[in-house]
Amino acid sequence: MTVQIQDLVKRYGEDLAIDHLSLKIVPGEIFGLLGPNGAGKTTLINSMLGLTKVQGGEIQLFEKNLNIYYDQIKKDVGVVPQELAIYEDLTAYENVDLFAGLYGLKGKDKKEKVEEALAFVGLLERKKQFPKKFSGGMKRRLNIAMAIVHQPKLVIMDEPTVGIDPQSRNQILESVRILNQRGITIIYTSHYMEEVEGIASNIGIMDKGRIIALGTNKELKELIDFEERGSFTVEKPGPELQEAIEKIPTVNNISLSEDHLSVWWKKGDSPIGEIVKIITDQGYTLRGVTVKEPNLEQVFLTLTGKSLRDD
Amino acid sequence: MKLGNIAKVTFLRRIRDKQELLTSIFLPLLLIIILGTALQGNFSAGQLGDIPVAYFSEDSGPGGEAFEDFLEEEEIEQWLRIVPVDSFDQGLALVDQRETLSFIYLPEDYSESISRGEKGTIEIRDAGLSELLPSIVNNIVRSYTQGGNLMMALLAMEDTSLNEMEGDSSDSISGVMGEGAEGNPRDSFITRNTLDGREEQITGLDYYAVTMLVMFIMWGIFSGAQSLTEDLFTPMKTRIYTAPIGKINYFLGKSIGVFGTFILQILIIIFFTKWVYGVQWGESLWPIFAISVMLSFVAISIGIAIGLLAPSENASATIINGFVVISTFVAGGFFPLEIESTLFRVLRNLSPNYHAQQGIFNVVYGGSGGVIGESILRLLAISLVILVIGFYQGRRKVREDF
Repeated sequence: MTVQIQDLVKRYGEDLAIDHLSLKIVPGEIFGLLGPNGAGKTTLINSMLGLTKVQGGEIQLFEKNLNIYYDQIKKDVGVVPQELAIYEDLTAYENVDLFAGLYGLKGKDKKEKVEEALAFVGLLERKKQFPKKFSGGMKRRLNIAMAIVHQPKLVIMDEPTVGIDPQSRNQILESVRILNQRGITIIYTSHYMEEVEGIASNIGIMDKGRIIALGTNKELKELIDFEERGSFTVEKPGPELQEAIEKIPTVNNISLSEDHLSVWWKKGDSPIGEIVKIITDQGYTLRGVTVKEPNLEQVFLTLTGKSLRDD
Repeated sequence: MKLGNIAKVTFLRRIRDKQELLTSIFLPLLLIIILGTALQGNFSAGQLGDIPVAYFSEDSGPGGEAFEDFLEEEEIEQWLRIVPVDSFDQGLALVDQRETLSFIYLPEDYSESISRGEKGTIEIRDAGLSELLPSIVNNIVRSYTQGGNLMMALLAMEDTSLNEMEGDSSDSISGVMGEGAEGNPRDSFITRNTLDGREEQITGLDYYAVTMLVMFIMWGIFSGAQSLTEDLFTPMKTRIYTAPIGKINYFLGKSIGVFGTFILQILIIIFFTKWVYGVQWGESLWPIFAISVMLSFVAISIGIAIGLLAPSENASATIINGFVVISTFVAGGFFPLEIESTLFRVLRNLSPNYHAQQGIFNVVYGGSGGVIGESILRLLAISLVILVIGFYQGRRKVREDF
């Protein structure tokens, strides 16, 4: 087990930030950690990094108790903080080199690993440049290089793609996949649900200091009764159309717009055939139908009652 | 070495910071020349002179007479206002009551000692009101004793004429035999060794070179504190704390890096002012380096303490600004101060600037080695106390941070 947390409790005064949380992360997985603001994600990560004292429970990383083997464990963990943690007045090389040195790399080996890390994030050609001249995406990539230069077994990435362009985001996500293919376990938190859906092999949804749902993307979607939504392209749908469709027993909700009709129904009880008949019977021309599958966002919303990006 | 990595990076970042370079090196050099030139008048005999000095001699021999003649020299009278007293105790009492700044005492055996070729000692007591004026008194007396002891010893050797000494390579003897060799030998060495000569006279540049060096080392607290604790206020904190380097090693590495830049600053200021401005830094620069290095240590300690104790970077900057200005002011860093108040003396004794300035002035103007050592020890004590408080409170802060 890369991470094994048992009955973890962390309080800030009277507030319970982590509420008897247990969690296992196996080697080689990308674990997506989702949760609304204040759910306890950062506290959980800080606890795993030994940055905060907990009041109860036990954390084991690489099968070793964090409290006892902290110094030993540190060497195998890389951290990509949410906010950029780079020195703007050091070159890209110097930034990575500093942390290579702090993790005990020396001489030729250090030089090779620094260049390897820079090459991995696509910054080797800019190694002599200062980050103040970098774009947001390049800074994010440097932020990652500094965390992986010592080739850790576990990398914790706290929202590594915040505030960057789609191209840089894709580059970072691709690098996360490659790192994982190399056998590195990754804990990945993000506000971007689709990122987590796309890369995580296992996802934990956190709320009020607890993991309220845990599983693969598919397993999470199956956890609850979902609604499906059908979008029907109809020119100027009128109230009589809405009235008729609302009478279908499996329809939960309906809304009209200029040229669209959106209908929600319980998963597995599709009323599409009946709706198409009503539309054509009333003389409307149906130009298209699309059905949207439930996504992680809906899982999250259903489980926590909050949107992931409500901040 | 992990500590070396931190030190190297800290040093590099500080010397790459143009604003830091401007503040720590160019600004002091500029201020020294501006203040030293503009306020030169404060350092003339007219301004600094008339220093009240109690005087009592129990020596009735030629050495004592010669010294009294020396004190009556016109050039000496520009600086010292001699108050003759009738006893040793009365002299001490005048100093204690702050009626005179110093007390010069010639013991009974002064002439006898130097006529035997031994070292004649003139005792000086001062009230500890400032470092500058007693330095002048010390310097004047030293100018006499160095030449006088030698002269009397020479005179005691019946068959030795002064003219025979003219070719001697010794600095003291060539000083004695300087410009007045044809006339009264005593006059000649007095003239050569009083503050009248450029070599010995304190100038505004000399004064402000010392006080500005000291003040800007102290200003280094600001950037030093920033360098030392900046990571505590940034996301870098997470990265540093999760790296396998202990907090003590981390701060030690940071301190060494900051310390390196202080040394660079000290060397540039001292050598630039010595060679370009012609500032007197005394015969040996080592004690000055030692004091400056100790002051840097104090500055770093204060920087760490304030950085760890202050709730934010802004609060830290405000505390440092206030501290450095007050510390410089009470030490007489902006202009020489002679304030006789207990509160002022307490404040001044708490000022690291004061102890550093006192030490450096004693080096430059030939004060006692004891005072120099005392200054260094006081600076060391101040920094250790501050470091202990800073680290104790800092550990609590670090624990509460997350």
